[in-house]
Amino acid sequence: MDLRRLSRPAAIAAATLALLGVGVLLGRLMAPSGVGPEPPPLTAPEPPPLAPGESGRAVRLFFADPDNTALREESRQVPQGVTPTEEARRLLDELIRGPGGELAPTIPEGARVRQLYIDGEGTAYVDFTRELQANHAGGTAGELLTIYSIVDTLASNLELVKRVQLLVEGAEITTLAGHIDARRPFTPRYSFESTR
Amino acid sequence: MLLLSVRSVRAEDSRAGAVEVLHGDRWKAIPTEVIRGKEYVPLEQVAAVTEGTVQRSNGRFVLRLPKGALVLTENVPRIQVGSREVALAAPPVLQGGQVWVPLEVLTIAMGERYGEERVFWDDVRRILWVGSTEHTLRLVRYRTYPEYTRIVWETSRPLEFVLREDETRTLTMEVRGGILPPALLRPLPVNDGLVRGVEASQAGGAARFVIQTEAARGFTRAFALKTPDRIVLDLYRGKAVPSGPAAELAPTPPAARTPSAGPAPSPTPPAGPSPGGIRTIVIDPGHGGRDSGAVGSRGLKEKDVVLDIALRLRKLIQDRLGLRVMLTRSEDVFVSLEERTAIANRAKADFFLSIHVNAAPKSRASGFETYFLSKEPSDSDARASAIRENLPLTEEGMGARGQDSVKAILWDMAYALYTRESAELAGMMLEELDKILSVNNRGVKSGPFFVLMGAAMPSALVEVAFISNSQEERKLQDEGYRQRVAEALLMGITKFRTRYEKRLGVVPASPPG
Repeated sequence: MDLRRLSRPAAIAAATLALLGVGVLLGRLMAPSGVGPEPPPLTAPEPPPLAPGESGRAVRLFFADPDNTALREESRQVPQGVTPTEEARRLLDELIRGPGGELAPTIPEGARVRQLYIDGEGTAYVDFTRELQANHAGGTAGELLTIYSIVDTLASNLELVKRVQLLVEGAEITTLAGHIDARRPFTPRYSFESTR
Repeated sequence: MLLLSVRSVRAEDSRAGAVEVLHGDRWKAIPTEVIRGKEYVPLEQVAAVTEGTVQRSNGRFVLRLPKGALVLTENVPRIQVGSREVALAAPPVLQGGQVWVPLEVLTIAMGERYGEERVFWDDVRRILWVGSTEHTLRLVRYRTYPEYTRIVWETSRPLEFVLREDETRTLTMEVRGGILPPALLRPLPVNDGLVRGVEASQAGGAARFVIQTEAARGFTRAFALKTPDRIVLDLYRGKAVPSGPAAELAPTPPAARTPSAGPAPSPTPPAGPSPGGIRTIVIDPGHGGRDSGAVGSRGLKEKDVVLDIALRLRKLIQDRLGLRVMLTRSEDVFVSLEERTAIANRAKADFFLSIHVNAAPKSRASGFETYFLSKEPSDSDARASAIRENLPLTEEGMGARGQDSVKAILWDMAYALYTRESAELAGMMLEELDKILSVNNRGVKSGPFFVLMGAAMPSALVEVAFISNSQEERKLQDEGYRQRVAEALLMGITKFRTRYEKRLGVVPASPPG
């Protein structure tokens, strides 16, 4: 890998991805003796520390409907984050925690957000732990729901986020469960009905 | 902002120790230190090469540049660059009274100071250098693949090149109009068992690169790619020849090899519908081998179900329609997603049908659905595509990205050409499944399917049932049910063929027997 001429957004994105561990991964590929740093210990997201009297923010979370045919919204109060990145993390933590009502979860068991970064072009780079892939049940329906629950939740709550690039353990993935192309950023999609 | 390739460095990594910064004809070595597994440089040294000054107050470090400033905070892995905040691989630390920052801060600062488009990082020789417009050659890099070694020269504009090779172990790449910056005059050691190294020299207005190889060198090909402009040389090992997806970039014909420049050799654009109607169908049983696909609660595996259905369908098509059928796999083996459509493209198939079984945990989902390829709206977003083409994420970095962009254009064409047919194919499959199976019809949907993306033909993906639904899993275990699914798919194919050929004005051949 090398550093070279990049456009500003591309460079920022590249930089970030490198920081998210892609550099580490590639470094490993290129230098088999290289050992990446230990990932930080991951803990389950804690409930939002909404102190009494603290102002929360109403957000929309996208979960699967009981038939797993479409995404449905669930509203929830979360504490106001200071930065968009922090807000994004809180949204994803809520998504990971799962639905409160009759809706079905979309994030595989044990998956957590490792890193998150939003570039100046509106692309959120969300780096999940390996469970996002390893514990995914498979199937196109479930794969679409997982991907777009993340994308729609971020994009519909954060004006800054226009698209989402998914990463797993710091690396780009080709697909999450073997069907949908995850090599490039996803734009929000609120229905899977056929579009041309 | 530049940066990059913050290769992870172990404490014992001999490469850690220093990086060199080259600006004009001034070289400066900057000591590095490995702190908690990351390579660090002293912030003062960063200031020294960027004409900056460092201010420290309460754990905040400000690197003031002639224009702008970078703000860091002790133990916080972020850097503020102007109004933007960027994550760092590691936080700044105080050690021995000095502020140490991760190596990428050096590249960020240099990019900010001299313009990111002028700052380059040579990872092999560990030189960070500031380029000037007269230097038309920017980077030389290489990557070793199992079958070949790829050497890439990045240039500031398209340059003509001549590759000279004979039976000796030496090849010469002459880049006309190639002006080498001092950093590239140093030899590039490769030593990957095929290529020993590359030595550069400036011969008047041309740059000459002498590539030393081992005796076992085989096929070579050289071609130009764009965005960024670059010259690519692939040296194959022994008897290996280009194969698989990489072969879509045709080898440069010998005649075009000297001198050659300009756009990359383009694969033949996908052909239109075959004039004789449908002759060849490629059926793709999903997953396989180490990839089981979805697994039901009774242990039934998607890969086994879809293979069985595909084998049944193949027999039905051959017997009843007399068409040529190819399977992307006919046993329990792993086949990559790229390879699946490559098989169909090589077979010049008239359409591609991928068979899958659905899953949805913690849900009562059941039934069948069919899909066709729709692209992400962002795919046509030029900006987004520029970003992703520049992301050095593939194994060899930008080179493959550039190839992707060439392919992307072709697939755009294929996409426009085949989307209508694909939607129709998906719709007919759904209709027939609906007639034969008395289960929930979930409709036709679309999405950016990896496995359909490379198909230069109409394509569809069917999800025949939910293996996560115990009732449906039980059905899938029943041979009779799998046969009915295959029959339904056959009916869909028959219908599609009739409509397709009618549109083409082809009289269908009578089925045998």
